[in-house]
Amino acid sequence: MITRRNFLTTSGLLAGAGMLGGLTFGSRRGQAADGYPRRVVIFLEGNGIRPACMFDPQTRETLEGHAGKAIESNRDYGHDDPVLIPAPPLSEARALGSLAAGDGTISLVERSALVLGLSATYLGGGHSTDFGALSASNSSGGPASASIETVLSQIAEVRGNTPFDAVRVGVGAATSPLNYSSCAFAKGKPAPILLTPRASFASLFGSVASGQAGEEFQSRKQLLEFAIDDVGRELKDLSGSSRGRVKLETYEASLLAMLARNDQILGMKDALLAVKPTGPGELDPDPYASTDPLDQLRLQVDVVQAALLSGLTNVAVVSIGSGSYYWSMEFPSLADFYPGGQVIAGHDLRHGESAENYETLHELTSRGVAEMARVARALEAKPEAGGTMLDNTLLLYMSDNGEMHHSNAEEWPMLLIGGNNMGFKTDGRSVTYPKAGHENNRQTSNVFNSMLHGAGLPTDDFGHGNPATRIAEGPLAELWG
Amino acid sequence: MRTRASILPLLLALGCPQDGGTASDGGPGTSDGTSAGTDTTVPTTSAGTSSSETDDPTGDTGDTGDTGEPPGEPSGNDLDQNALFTCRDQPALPPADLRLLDRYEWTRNVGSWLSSDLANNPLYPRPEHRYSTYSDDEALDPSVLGLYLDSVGGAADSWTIGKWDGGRLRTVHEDPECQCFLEDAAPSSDCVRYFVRRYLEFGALFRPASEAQFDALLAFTEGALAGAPDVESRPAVIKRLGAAAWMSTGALHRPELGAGEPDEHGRLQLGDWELAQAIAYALTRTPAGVPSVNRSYNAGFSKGDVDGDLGSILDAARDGTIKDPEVVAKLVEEHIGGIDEERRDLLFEPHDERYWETHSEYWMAHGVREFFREWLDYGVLAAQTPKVEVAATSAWSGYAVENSYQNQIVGFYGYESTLDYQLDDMIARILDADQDVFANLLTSRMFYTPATAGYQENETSIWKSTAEANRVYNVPGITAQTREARWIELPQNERAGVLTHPAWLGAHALSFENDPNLVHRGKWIREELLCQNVPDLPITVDAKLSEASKSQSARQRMSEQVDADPYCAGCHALMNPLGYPFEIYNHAGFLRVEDHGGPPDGTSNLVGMPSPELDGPVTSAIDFSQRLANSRYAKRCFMRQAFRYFTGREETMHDACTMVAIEKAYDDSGGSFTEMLIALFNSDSFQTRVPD
Repeated sequence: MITRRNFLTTSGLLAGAGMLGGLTFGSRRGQAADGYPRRVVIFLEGNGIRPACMFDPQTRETLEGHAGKAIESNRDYGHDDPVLIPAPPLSEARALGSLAAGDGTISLVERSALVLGLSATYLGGGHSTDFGALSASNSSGGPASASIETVLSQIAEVRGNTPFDAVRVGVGAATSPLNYSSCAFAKGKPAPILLTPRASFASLFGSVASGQAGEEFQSRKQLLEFAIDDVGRELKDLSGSSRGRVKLETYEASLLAMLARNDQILGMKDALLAVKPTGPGELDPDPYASTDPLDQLRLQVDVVQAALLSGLTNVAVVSIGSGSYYWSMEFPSLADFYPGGQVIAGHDLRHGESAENYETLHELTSRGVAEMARVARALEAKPEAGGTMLDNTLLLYMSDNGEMHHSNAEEWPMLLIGGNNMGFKTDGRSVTYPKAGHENNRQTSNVFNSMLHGAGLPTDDFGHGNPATRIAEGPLAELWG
Repeated sequence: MRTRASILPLLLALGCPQDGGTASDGGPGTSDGTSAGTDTTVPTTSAGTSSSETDDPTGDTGDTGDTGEPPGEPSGNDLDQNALFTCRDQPALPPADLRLLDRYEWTRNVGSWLSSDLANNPLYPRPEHRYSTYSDDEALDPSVLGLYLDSVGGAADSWTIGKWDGGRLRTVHEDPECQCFLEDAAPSSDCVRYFVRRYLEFGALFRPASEAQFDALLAFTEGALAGAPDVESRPAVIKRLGAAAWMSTGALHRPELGAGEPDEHGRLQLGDWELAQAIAYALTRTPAGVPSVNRSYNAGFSKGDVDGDLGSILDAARDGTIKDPEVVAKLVEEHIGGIDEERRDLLFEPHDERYWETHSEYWMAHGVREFFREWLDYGVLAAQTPKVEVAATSAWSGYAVENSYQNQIVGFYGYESTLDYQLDDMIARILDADQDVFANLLTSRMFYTPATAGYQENETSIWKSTAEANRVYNVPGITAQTREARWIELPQNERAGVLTHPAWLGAHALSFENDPNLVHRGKWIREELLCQNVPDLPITVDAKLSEASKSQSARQRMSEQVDADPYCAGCHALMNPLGYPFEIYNHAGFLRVEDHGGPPDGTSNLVGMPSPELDGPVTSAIDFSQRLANSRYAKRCFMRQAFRYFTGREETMHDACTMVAIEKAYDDSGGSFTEMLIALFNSDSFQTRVPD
C-alpha cells in the first residue's frame, strides 16, 4: 500500500532521477553496466507450457543421450549437472519458430537462451499457482509477498524517470476487466492486470489519444487537483477512525502520484506521439472490437511495446490467461488446430489428451513467443546507451504453473531474450537443469534472483516464505554473470 | 510424498482430526452456562482451528481476510458458536470506518445499470473478503485510481440526457428548479448554486453536503462554466462537475463514524444519515435517494420519484425518526421484497423487458439477493469451470439437452432466465412467505423452472439451445410460458431446497460428473453452513485423482483414493461425508439415474458433527437437507452469515448479545427473515461505532 511516507520517497526518486545516459554504441557486455537503462518484460502464459514444444532437436537429443531413453517428461532426465549447449537450433523448436530470421526481420536465436529443468513444486502446481509464479511463494491464501515485477519496478536503476513503475496487461477468460490473481504489490495486496486493450491504451496513451479519450485526459489535472484539495480537507477534519484515515491517506497518495505521473506524461507528448499504437476507433474495422484473445493479445503487446519505446515504463507483465481460470479461453483464430477444426471450451481443450489438443496448445505458446519476439525486434531496432534497447531489456517467457494443465510444477520451461547489458547470457544457448528432486535441480526463484542481480538489487533469496523449500540461493551461473 | 512420521504433526498443526475420520476434537462441548437469562446452548465441537492461526510448518501461507476488528481478536469461523450465542452483556464494539463504494453501488448511484459501460468501473471488492460488503483495506490504490479516472468522466452522463431520451433521470427532468441550468445560456447565481447542491446531494453524496463540500464544487463548476458559457456546452459542464463530485472522498466513501456523546463503553451512535444510509445500502446496495431512471421507453422508470428511490428512508433520515426501532421495522418491511408483477427491480439488470417478464413475480431487494448469492455462492455460475457432458448419468441425453443447459448458464439464446436467476426467484418466494425461512430454504420443492414452449424444433431456429432447458430439473415435456407453469413442485424424492438446486450444485462442482465435486460441496457446507474451518490444502499435496480411475464413479474414486488414505482422510473427513449425499446429482445438477453401472448412491454416515442432531446416517441430499433444516446449530450459522453480510464485517464475541437478539426475533416470529434483519438493524452491532 502506498502511504504518504513512501510516496514522498517515490516522488523524490522521480525528481532526483537524471536523464538516462546519452547514446553510446558499445558492444554487448556480459555484466550489468551502471548508467544503462534496465528493463524487464515478462510474458506469463497461464495453465502450463508443455516442454515438448520448447525442445529444439539438439537439446532433446543431448538430453536423451544422458537419459539413455526417450524423454517424455522431465522425470526422464538422466543428467546430474546442468547441461549447457552453446548454440542449438532453438528456432527449430515447435514454439520457437519466431526466433528465426524472416523477411526483413533479424534472427533472435543468438539473442536467446532456452532454460529447462527448473522446478517450483512448493508452489503446488495445479491449474495455476496464481501469485506463486511471480512471487516464488505459495499463494494458496492470497499473495504471500510482492511479485517479481513489483520488486524490480522499485529499483531506482530500473524505474529511472518513467511515469509508470510497472505495466500489467493481458488477456484472459473473464467477466471483469481486471485480473487480480497473478501479480501483487505486497503480501495480501493483489495488483490488477488490465484485460481490455481499450483500458490499457487509455491508461498509457490517453494523453495523446484523439477524440473524447484525449480530451478527458487533458482535463484530468483539474480533477486531480480538486480531489487533492478535497481529501486534504477531509483528512484535516477526520478524527476517530484510524481505518478511515488509512483509506483517505491511500487515496491522497494515489492522487499525488497520479498528478505527478500525468504532469510527466503531458511532458512526453512528442515521444508518445512518435510510437503511439493505433487507438480504439481509429481503424475500420476496429481491431479493438475483436473478442478473439489473440487479437486482443496483439493489441496489448502493441501498447506494452510502445510504452517501452517511449519511456513510459521499464517493467511490464503480459499475461496470457494467467491465474485462476483466466486460461480457460477459446481461440477462434486457432480453429484450424483444434481437433476436427472445431473450437471447444478452454477447459476441454486443455483436458484433452490427444495430439491435436497438444498441437493447439503448442501453437498457442508459439503465438505467445512470437509476440515476445515482436517486442524484442522492436527494441533491437532502437539504439540507446549500451547498444540497443534490447541489450538493456530482458524478456522472459514463462508459465504460471509449470508444465501442463494439471501440473506438478516440476518443470517450468523458460525463454529469455536480450538483457545482455544486465548480465544475461542470452547468446543462443540452452541450459537444462537436473530433474526435480535432484540436489542440482534449480528453481524458478533462481531466475528471479538472477534478474534482481542484473537489475541492480543483488538478491540471493527471493521468495520462499518457507526457506526450507529453497534448493539453492543465488542466481544461475549458467544464465547470468 | 511426505513420510508418515512427518504427517501427523502436520495434520495436527493444520487442525485436521486424526481420530479415525471424524470431525470431533474430543466430543461435544458445552457452554459454561453463564448466559444472561437465555439458555441458548447447543452442544458443539470445533472442526479445527483457523488455518490463519496455525504455525504452518510448510510455510508460504498468506494471511488474508477481513476481521473487521483489531488484529488478534478472534472472529468469524474461529469462534465457538455456543459462546457466540450466549449473551454476557459484552458490548458490541464495531470500529468507526469509511466504506469505499463498490462497483455496483457506484454504477447505480450515478444513474446507470448493470451491463452498461459505467458498470465496468474498477471498484471491485477485494477478492479475499468473504462478502463484498466488507470494508477492511478497501481503498483506491494507484492502479485502481488510474482505471477509475477512465470511468469517472462518465459519472454525470445520466444528468445530461435529454428529457425524452432513454437513460434520463427524474432527479433532473422532474425538478423544475434544475431546468434553468439546463436551458439558460447564462444561468443565474442562484440557479447555479441550486444545481450544484442538487447534484452533490442527489447525485453524489446522498446526504446533506457540508458548506466546504458545496463551496468547493461550486467554485469548480463556476470555473467550468466560465470556460464554456453557451448552453450547447452545458452537458460538458455537467460532466465536469459530476466528475469532480465523484472524485471527492465524500462521494466515494460512506461514513460510519458515529456522532454525539460516547456511551459508557466509549461508543458513538451512528448519525441519522449514517444509519439511514447504512440500512438502505444493506437492503438494496444503494442509498436512499438513488435516482429513478428511465432506462428505455418500453421499460419506463425504475422505482422512485423526483428525489429518487427509497423516499421513506430519506424522510426518516431527515426527521430523525430513523432512530425509532418501529420506524426501522416499517422501512425494512417496505423495502425488503415481495410480489411485483412488473418486476421493476429488474430494470437495472442486463437485457431488456423481454427477458425480465420471464422471471417470477417474486422479488427481493438487491442487497438481500446479493446476500443469498454470496452466501450460497451461486452468483457467478457463468464464471465457473465449464461443464462437460452435462447430462451424463441422468435420464436425459442429446445435444439439445447439452446446449440447453449451457444456455441456462449464459442466457444467450431466447428470453428465459438463467439458473442463477431461477434460484433467486425460488428464494424470493420463500422470503415472501417469511415463515421458517431457514428450514424452507433447505426443504422447499417449489422451483422456478424455465419455459420451453415456443422453443421447440418446429417453433424456433434456436431450439437446439432452448428446447430442453427444463431437463436439468428432471422436468419432462414442455413447460408453458407462464409464471404459473414455470413454478413446479418437484418430486419429494428428487429435490429439497437450495442445496439441491442446479445453480448451487453446478456452482460447487467441476467439469465432469465423476470429478471430486463432492469435496467442493462438502467443503462449502462445512464452512458456510456449519461455520467451521477447513484447513488449506497442504502445499506438499498433489490433490488429484488418478487418470486410471476416470471410468469409475466419483464415490469410488474418492473412497478408494482419498478416504482410504489416512493422510488424506484426516482433512477430507471434514468434507467428504457432507458431499457424498449430493452424488445423487451429477456435476451440473442433473438427477442421476445411474452411476457407472450402479444405482445413484447418496448415502453417508455423519459422525462427529458439531451438534448431535446432525449425526447419523443419511440416504441422500434430500435427507441431509431436511436434517440440516431441523438443526438449530445450522440455523445459527445461517444467522452468522447474515450478520456478516449485512453489517459488512465478521462477528466477534462482542456481538454475542446481538446474536441472541436476532435469534430470538427469528424464533419468536416463526422464522421470519424480515424480523431477524429488523433486530439486526436495531442492534448495537449495527448502530454504534467505536472511535479510535
